[in-house]
Amino acid sequence: MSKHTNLVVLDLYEKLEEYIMVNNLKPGDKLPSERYLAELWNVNRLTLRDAIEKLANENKVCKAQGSGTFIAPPKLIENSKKFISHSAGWEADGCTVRSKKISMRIMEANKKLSQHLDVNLGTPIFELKRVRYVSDIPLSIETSHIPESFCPNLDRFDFEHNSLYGTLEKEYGIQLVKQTQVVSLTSITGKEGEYLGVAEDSCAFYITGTALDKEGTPIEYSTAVIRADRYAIKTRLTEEEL
Amino acid sequence: MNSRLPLYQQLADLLREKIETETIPFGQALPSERELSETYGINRMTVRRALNILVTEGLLIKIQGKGTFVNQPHIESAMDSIQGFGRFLKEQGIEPSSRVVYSGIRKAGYKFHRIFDISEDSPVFRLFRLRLGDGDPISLEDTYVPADLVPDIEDYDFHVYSLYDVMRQHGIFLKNGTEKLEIVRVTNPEAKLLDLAPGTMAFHLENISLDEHGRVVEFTSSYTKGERFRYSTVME
Repeated sequence: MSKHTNLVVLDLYEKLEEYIMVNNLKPGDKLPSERYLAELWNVNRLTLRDAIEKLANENKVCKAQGSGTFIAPPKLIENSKKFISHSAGWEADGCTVRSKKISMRIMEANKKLSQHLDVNLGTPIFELKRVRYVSDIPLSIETSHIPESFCPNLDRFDFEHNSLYGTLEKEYGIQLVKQTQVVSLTSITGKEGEYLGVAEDSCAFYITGTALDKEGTPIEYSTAVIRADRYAIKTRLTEEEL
Repeated sequence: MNSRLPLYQQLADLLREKIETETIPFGQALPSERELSETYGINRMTVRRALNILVTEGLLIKIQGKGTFVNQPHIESAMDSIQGFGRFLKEQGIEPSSRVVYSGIRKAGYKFHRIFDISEDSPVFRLFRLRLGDGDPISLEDTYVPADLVPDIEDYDFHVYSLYDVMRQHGIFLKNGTEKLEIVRVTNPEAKLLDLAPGTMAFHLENISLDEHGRVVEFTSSYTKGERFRYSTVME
């Protein structure tokens, strides 16, 4: 073992995970005090504090100033393999979904949009920016860009209550069948934090995606900023080679 | 450009565009904060804020006393395949290496009794490795395998052998698995090993692999630097 790496904190982290499971602690339940656990396990209190800090940094517990450490609410887990509309995906998991519109407008394609949507610079693009709520949690800010020529007068619809993909299919006969996504990380800006109810500089997923129709034509380029404290992505892995 | 966006965000967008289109290429220094502030007529705090966003996104890197530089391009990984880290980096022209932080046998305990469906007293082999690309730490992988699957698993030098290759030699073929991707802030000892300041954002992956008999044969918890890495996937 490397002389300079202290792995004891990881052992205590595992012990805490076990304590939470064995004692069936639920979101909102209080974790016993550091002092109590340090005595129970006969371990160094500062190392234990580091292990609890690690749980907090991974959003498994939340610390409330002056009142202790509590089990955090569970993350909403999205299955990344299936491509279906945001609403249909979450509803299939028994979650309610709704949206709040931030803005809706027609803009000119900038260089980035022109590349992703395969259109000329300056092409009119419909832009819709929404806060997405899943089970009443303001989870993400999503911005969709669709060339206006695919969906004239799209702005007459209400996207607080209607699914964008559902509307494209029903009203314009556009069926999106495939999406390529890139997942990276970012920190939340002050304005985004206000919409999502989290502090500025909180961790977030930054996911960009291009959705294609059956012919492989790019129809929508989207960006999403998603709260990392309440979200995880699950992927089913397949054997690649062998 | 959307004039309603705050100035720091407009500047961040502008610089991001220049980096992505390689108008400012990898390795090149950005104009100084003072120059940027003069060029665009905005105050230095606003410039700094914009630069910090791009540092977080991994597009820029600050080097003490030298300035702000365009970072190396991101390493892109497909989320939906099982492949060894080494092979994956090689495909991108990056020279992989590993440093074993710890390896040895331990008891399964409660956690691995649940994951592998073995008794709490069963031996589990742990391989805790720092993965490097061209010599830079990229990822820290803490892997567990039921020790009974590979006799003398401790005796292999995992600086040299790939864990998956060793498992294959013993007739264990990974068939499928699941992966959970989260974003967390790293603390020590992980932060130190990855050469990151504690509190830096990173990807956290938990990975469970099954063999063709449906047995869970591997569990890995890994932390990967977000500033160098992103995941891509295709959904149909």
